[in-house]
Amino acid sequence: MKILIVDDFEMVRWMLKDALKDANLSELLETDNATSALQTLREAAKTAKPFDYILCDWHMPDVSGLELLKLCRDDKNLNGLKFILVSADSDGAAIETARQAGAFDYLLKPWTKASLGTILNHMREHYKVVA
Amino acid sequence: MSALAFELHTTEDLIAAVTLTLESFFMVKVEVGQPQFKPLQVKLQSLSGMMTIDQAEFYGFVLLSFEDRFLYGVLQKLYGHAFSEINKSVSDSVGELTNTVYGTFKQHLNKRGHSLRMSIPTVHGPGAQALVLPLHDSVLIPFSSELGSFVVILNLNKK
Repeated sequence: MKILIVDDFEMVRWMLKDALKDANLSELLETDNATSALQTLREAAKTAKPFDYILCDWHMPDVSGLELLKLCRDDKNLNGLKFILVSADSDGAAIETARQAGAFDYLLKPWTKASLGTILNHMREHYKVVA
Repeated sequence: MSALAFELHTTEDLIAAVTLTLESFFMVKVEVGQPQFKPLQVKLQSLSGMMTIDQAEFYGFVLLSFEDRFLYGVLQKLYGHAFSEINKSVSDSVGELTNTVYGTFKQHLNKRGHSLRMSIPTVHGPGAQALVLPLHDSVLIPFSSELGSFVVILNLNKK
């Protein structure tokens, strides 16, 4: 399972990487902005090993995670990418906006071991189905 | 005085947001000091993160101001190596702490029927600065832990 982590804060990228490695997910790349993420995703999509998942912060300067999600949904080469938005915004409206934009899941900060575990289980179950 | 700013639940919600963020996200146990209402001037600590609130209902800010040794301790727990100077990792941690505390605080307030929205935090410092506050509508909450101390200031005014 190949995963891209996107957050403008190094600390969050580190925490996510750490948690994913603990869950035996080691094929991880990271970047600190959406523009670079889109380039990385598009380049990988041309190869035999595209990204399966992206964990992306919603609220970032310049291009937000939601905007990146929409750009991914508009790119036919990124159709298979599963997008998980990460945010401290727990409003139902925000979560619904993410869902309508095509998000696979939504990780709320501050996450707990249990809440992150639920997301990882969802990822694994779906990965098994499509693999 | 605003209808909201000094309601007890607002202060309690902010304390809950700080405690949840530090304890569940960063595994740091914090103790809450006595809130000070309407402080006129606050000496900020090494690094501060601010989330500005400017929305239909309210204007104001949430500000978290940290001792550098507290931040070094949090990051050492996270990364597993020592920090001794303010660098990008340390500044970033202030932004993320502010972001997560505000998000959780907003969640509490919005459950009470308000409609605060997310924004992007700004980081100020390093260096001690004095913050002169408006005469009303602020509360300062001191926190301490084995790693060091920090203060949280809420300035919230109803439009």
